[in-house]
Amino acid sequence: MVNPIAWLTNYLLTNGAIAAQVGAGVYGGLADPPIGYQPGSKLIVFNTRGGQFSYDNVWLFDSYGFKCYGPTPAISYDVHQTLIEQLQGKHSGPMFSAEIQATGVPLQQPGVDWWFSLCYFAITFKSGLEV
Amino acid sequence: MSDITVNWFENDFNLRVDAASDQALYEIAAQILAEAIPNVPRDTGFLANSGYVNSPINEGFQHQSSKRSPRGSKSKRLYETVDKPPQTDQTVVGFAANYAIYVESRTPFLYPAMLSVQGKIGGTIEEAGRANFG
Repeated sequence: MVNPIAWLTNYLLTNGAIAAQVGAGVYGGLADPPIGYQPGSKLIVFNTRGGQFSYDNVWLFDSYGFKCYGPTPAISYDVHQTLIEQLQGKHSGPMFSAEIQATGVPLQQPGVDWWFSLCYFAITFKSGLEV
Repeated sequence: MSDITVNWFENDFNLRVDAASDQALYEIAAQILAEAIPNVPRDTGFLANSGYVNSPINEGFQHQSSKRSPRGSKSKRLYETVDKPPQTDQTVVGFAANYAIYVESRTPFLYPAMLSVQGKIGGTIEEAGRANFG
Protein backbone atom coordinates (compact mmCIF):
# COMPACT_ATOMS: atom_id res chain seq x y z
CA MET A 1 0.00 0.00 0.00
CA VAL A 2 1.18 3.50 -0.77
CA ASN A 3 2.57 5.56 2.11
CA PRO A 4 1.32 9.00 1.15
CA ILE A 5 3.23 10.86 3.84
CA ALA A 6 6.58 9.36 2.86
CA TRP A 7 5.83 9.78 -0.83
CA LEU A 8 4.72 13.40 -0.48
CA THR A 9 7.72 14.26 1.69
CA ASN A 10 10.06 12.95 -0.96
CA TYR A 11 8.07 14.60 -3.75
CA LEU A 12 8.34 18.01 -2.09
CA LEU A 13 11.99 17.56 -1.09
CA THR A 14 12.95 16.84 -4.68
CA ASN A 15 11.03 19.81 -6.08
CA GLY A 16 13.38 22.64 -7.06
CA ALA A 17 11.06 25.52 -6.17
CA ILE A 18 10.24 24.05 -2.77
CA ALA A 19 13.91 23.36 -2.09
CA ALA A 20 14.74 26.96 -3.04
CA GLN A 21 12.28 28.12 -0.38
CA VAL A 22 12.88 25.72 2.50
CA GLY A 23 15.94 23.65 1.57
CA ALA A 24 15.53 20.27 3.25
CA GLY A 25 12.88 21.64 5.59
CA VAL A 26 9.95 19.42 4.67
CA TYR A 27 8.55 17.26 7.45
CA GLY A 28 5.67 14.85 6.89
CA GLY A 29 3.62 13.36 9.69
CA LEU A 30 4.22 16.17 12.16
CA ALA A 31 1.77 18.66 13.61
CA ASP A 32 4.48 21.12 14.64
CA PRO A 33 8.06 21.88 13.59
CA PRO A 34 10.57 19.29 14.77
CA ILE A 35 12.57 19.71 17.96
CA GLY A 36 15.37 22.17 17.35
CA TYR A 37 13.39 24.40 15.04
CA GLN A 38 15.03 27.78 14.73
CA PRO A 39 12.26 30.36 15.04
CA GLY A 40 12.08 32.44 11.89
CA SER A 41 13.44 29.80 9.57
CA LYS A 42 11.36 28.57 6.66
CA LEU A 43 9.97 25.05 6.56
CA ILE A 44 6.89 23.02 5.69
CA VAL A 45 5.22 20.66 8.12
CA PHE A 46 2.29 18.55 7.00
CA ASN A 47 0.09 15.78 8.23
CA THR A 48 -2.99 13.95 7.13
CA ARG A 49 -6.31 14.70 8.76
CA GLY A 50 -7.81 11.45 7.58
CA GLY A 51 -9.68 10.27 4.55
CA GLN A 52 -11.43 7.40 2.86
CA PHE A 53 -10.92 4.67 0.29
CA SER A 54 -13.02 4.45 -2.83
CA TYR A 55 -15.67 1.71 -2.70
CA ASP A 56 -13.38 -0.61 -4.67
CA ASN A 57 -10.26 0.23 -2.59
CA VAL A 58 -8.41 1.44 -5.69
CA TRP A 59 -8.19 5.09 -4.57
CA LEU A 60 -7.24 6.71 -1.31
CA PHE A 61 -8.82 10.12 -0.78
CA ASP A 62 -7.01 11.94 2.01
CA SER A 63 -6.89 15.50 3.20
CA TYR A 64 -3.59 17.06 4.27
CA GLY A 65 -2.93 20.11 6.37
CA PHE A 66 0.24 22.02 5.45
CA LYS A 67 1.80 24.51 7.85
CA CYS A 68 4.29 26.74 6.02
CA TYR A 69 6.59 28.53 8.45
CA GLY A 70 8.51 31.75 7.90
CA PRO A 71 9.97 34.67 9.82
CA THR A 72 6.97 36.92 9.08
CA PRO A 73 3.32 36.37 8.14
CA ALA A 74 4.05 37.60 4.60
CA ILE A 75 7.01 35.27 4.11
CA SER A 76 5.13 32.29 5.54
CA TYR A 77 2.38 33.12 3.06
CA ASP A 78 4.98 33.24 0.28
CA VAL A 79 6.18 29.74 1.21
CA HIS A 80 2.58 28.56 1.10
CA GLN A 81 2.11 30.11 -2.33
CA THR A 82 5.13 28.24 -3.62
CA LEU A 83 3.63 25.05 -2.23
CA ILE A 84 0.37 25.73 -4.07
CA GLU A 85 2.20 26.45 -7.31
CA GLN A 86 4.04 23.16 -7.05
CA LEU A 87 1.18 20.95 -5.87
CA GLN A 88 -2.13 22.30 -7.15
CA GLY A 89 -3.41 20.25 -10.08
CA LYS A 90 -0.29 18.11 -10.21
CA HIS A 91 -0.14 14.34 -10.67
CA SER A 92 2.86 12.09 -10.50
CA GLY A 93 3.49 8.44 -9.72
CA PRO A 94 0.85 7.20 -7.29
CA MET A 95 -0.46 10.75 -6.75
CA PHE A 96 -3.48 10.94 -9.03
CA SER A 97 -4.58 14.46 -8.17
CA ALA A 98 -3.97 17.29 -5.73
CA GLU A 99 -6.57 19.99 -5.25
CA ILE A 100 -6.50 22.83 -2.77
CA GLN A 101 -9.33 22.67 -0.22
CA ALA A 102 -8.56 25.84 1.70
CA THR A 103 -5.95 28.40 0.74
CA GLY A 104 -3.58 29.71 3.34
CA VAL A 105 -4.35 31.69 6.44
CA PRO A 106 -1.37 33.32 8.17
CA LEU A 107 -1.43 32.42 11.86
CA GLN A 108 0.79 32.81 14.88
CA GLN A 109 1.67 29.68 16.84
CA PRO A 110 0.07 30.17 20.27
CA GLY A 111 2.47 31.30 22.94
CA VAL A 112 5.49 31.73 20.70
CA ASP A 113 6.63 34.08 17.99
CA TRP A 114 6.36 31.57 15.14
CA TRP A 115 4.45 32.46 12.01
CA PHE A 116 2.93 29.98 9.66
CA SER A 117 0.32 29.82 6.90
CA LEU A 118 -2.11 26.93 7.13
CA CYS A 119 -3.68 25.41 4.03
CA TYR A 120 -5.37 22.15 3.15
CA PHE A 121 -5.14 19.90 0.11
CA ALA A 122 -7.33 17.01 -0.96
CA ILE A 123 -4.97 14.50 -2.53
CA THR A 124 -5.99 11.29 -4.26
CA PHE A 125 -3.51 8.41 -4.36
CA LYS A 126 -3.62 5.06 -6.07
CA SER A 127 -3.93 3.00 -2.91
CA GLY A 128 -1.79 0.11 -4.03
CA LEU A 129 -4.09 -2.25 -2.12
CA GLU A 130 -4.65 -5.66 -3.60
CA VAL A 131 -8.17 -5.58 -5.06
CA MET B 1 -60.19 18.62 -25.05
CA SER B 2 -58.72 17.53 -21.80
CA ASP B 3 -60.49 18.44 -18.55
CA ILE B 4 -57.29 18.23 -16.54
CA THR B 5 -55.80 21.49 -15.28
CA VAL B 6 -52.30 21.78 -13.91
CA ASN B 7 -51.56 24.80 -11.73
CA TRP B 8 -47.85 25.46 -11.44
CA PHE B 9 -47.21 27.60 -8.40
CA GLU B 10 -43.60 28.26 -9.16
CA ASN B 11 -42.87 30.62 -6.30
CA ASP B 12 -44.50 28.35 -3.80
CA PHE B 13 -42.63 25.35 -5.14
CA ASN B 14 -39.32 27.18 -4.97
CA LEU B 15 -39.98 28.21 -1.42
CA ARG B 16 -40.68 24.65 -0.47
CA VAL B 17 -37.53 23.47 -2.21
CA ASP B 18 -35.53 26.14 -0.41
CA ALA B 19 -37.08 25.18 2.89
CA ALA B 20 -36.34 21.53 2.25
CA SER B 21 -32.72 22.19 1.34
CA ASP B 22 -32.25 24.51 4.32
CA GLN B 23 -33.74 21.85 6.57
CA ALA B 24 -31.57 19.12 5.04
CA LEU B 25 -28.42 21.24 5.30
CA TYR B 26 -29.22 22.14 8.88
CA GLU B 27 -29.69 18.49 9.79
CA ILE B 28 -26.45 17.51 8.07
CA ALA B 29 -24.57 20.29 9.85
CA ALA B 30 -26.11 19.34 13.20
CA GLN B 31 -25.07 15.73 12.62
CA ILE B 32 -21.49 16.82 11.82
CA LEU B 33 -21.44 18.87 15.02
CA ALA B 34 -22.81 15.98 17.07
CA GLU B 35 -20.14 13.63 15.75
CA ALA B 36 -17.34 16.17 16.16
CA ILE B 37 -17.99 17.13 19.78
CA PRO B 38 -16.99 13.77 21.33
CA ASN B 39 -13.69 13.97 19.41
CA VAL B 40 -12.74 17.46 20.55
CA PRO B 41 -9.60 17.30 22.72
CA ARG B 42 -10.68 18.40 26.18
CA ASP B 43 -8.86 20.49 28.71
CA THR B 44 -11.31 23.06 30.06
CA GLY B 45 -14.19 22.00 27.82
CA PHE B 46 -14.55 25.51 26.42
CA LEU B 47 -13.72 24.46 22.87
CA ALA B 48 -16.20 21.57 22.86
CA ASN B 49 -18.90 23.86 24.21
CA SER B 50 -18.29 26.43 21.50
CA GLY B 51 -19.63 24.26 18.65
CA TYR B 52 -22.50 25.76 16.68
CA VAL B 53 -24.59 25.52 13.54
CA ASN B 54 -25.70 28.73 11.88
CA SER B 55 -28.24 28.48 9.10
CA PRO B 56 -31.18 30.38 7.63
CA ILE B 57 -33.47 28.37 9.93
CA ASN B 58 -31.42 28.41 13.10
CA GLU B 59 -28.82 30.80 14.46
CA GLY B 60 -26.83 28.74 16.90
CA PHE B 61 -23.80 31.01 17.21
CA GLN B 62 -23.30 32.68 20.57
CA HIS B 63 -20.41 34.82 21.67
CA GLN B 64 -19.03 33.41 24.90
CA SER B 65 -16.21 34.15 27.28
CA SER B 66 -15.27 32.34 30.43
CA LYS B 67 -12.45 32.24 32.96
CA ARG B 68 -11.22 28.72 33.48
CA SER B 69 -8.16 26.92 34.79
CA PRO B 70 -6.32 24.85 32.21
CA ARG B 71 -5.26 21.41 33.37
CA GLY B 72 -2.18 21.62 35.57
CA SER B 73 -2.66 25.29 36.35
CA LYS B 74 -4.29 26.88 39.37
CA SER B 75 -4.57 30.30 37.80
CA LYS B 76 -7.51 31.11 35.58
CA ARG B 77 -7.27 32.26 31.99
CA LEU B 78 -9.82 34.08 29.88
CA TYR B 79 -11.25 31.92 27.11
CA GLU B 80 -13.19 33.60 24.34
CA THR B 81 -14.99 32.83 21.14
CA VAL B 82 -14.64 34.89 18.00
CA ASP B 83 -16.98 37.89 17.93
CA LYS B 84 -19.22 36.75 15.12
CA PRO B 85 -19.73 33.76 12.84
CA PRO B 86 -18.75 33.83 9.14
CA GLN B 87 -21.01 36.33 7.39
CA THR B 88 -22.88 34.20 4.88
CA ASP B 89 -26.45 33.16 4.14
CA GLN B 90 -25.28 29.57 3.87
CA THR B 91 -25.27 26.89 6.52
CA VAL B 92 -22.14 26.86 8.66
CA VAL B 93 -20.97 24.36 11.24
CA GLY B 94 -18.00 25.31 13.36
CA PHE B 95 -16.37 25.83 16.70
CA ALA B 96 -16.21 29.43 17.80
CA ALA B 97 -13.41 29.26 20.37
CA ASN B 98 -10.77 31.63 19.04
CA TYR B 99 -8.11 28.92 19.25
CA ALA B 100 -10.17 26.20 17.54
CA ILE B 101 -8.14 26.27 14.33
CA TYR B 102 -4.94 25.47 16.22
CA VAL B 103 -6.48 22.42 17.82
CA GLU B 104 -8.07 21.29 14.54
CA SER B 105 -4.72 21.68 12.76
CA ARG B 106 -3.02 19.43 15.30
CA THR B 107 -5.79 16.99 16.21
CA PRO B 108 -8.50 17.08 13.57
CA PHE B 109 -11.97 16.62 15.07
CA LEU B 110 -14.26 18.50 12.68
CA TYR B 111 -13.01 17.15 9.36
CA PRO B 112 -13.28 13.46 10.35
CA ALA B 113 -16.85 14.14 11.53
CA MET B 114 -17.64 15.64 8.14
CA LEU B 115 -16.25 12.54 6.42
CA SER B 116 -18.28 10.29 8.67
CA VAL B 117 -21.51 12.17 7.98
CA GLN B 118 -20.77 12.33 4.26
CA GLY B 119 -21.59 8.64 4.01
CA LYS B 120 -24.97 9.14 5.67
CA ILE B 121 -26.17 12.22 3.81
CA GLY B 122 -28.64 10.32 1.63
CA GLY B 123 -30.83 9.30 4.55
CA THR B 124 -30.80 12.79 6.05
CA ILE B 125 -31.89 14.41 2.79
CA GLU B 126 -34.61 11.80 2.35
CA GLU B 127 -36.00 12.54 5.83
CA ALA B 128 -36.02 16.30 5.23
CA GLY B 129 -37.65 15.84 1.84
CA ARG B 130 -40.36 13.63 3.31
CA ALA B 131 -41.08 16.21 5.99
CA ASN B 132 -41.46 18.99 3.40
CA PHE B 133 -43.05 17.21 0.48
CA GLY B 134 -44.99 14.46 2.25
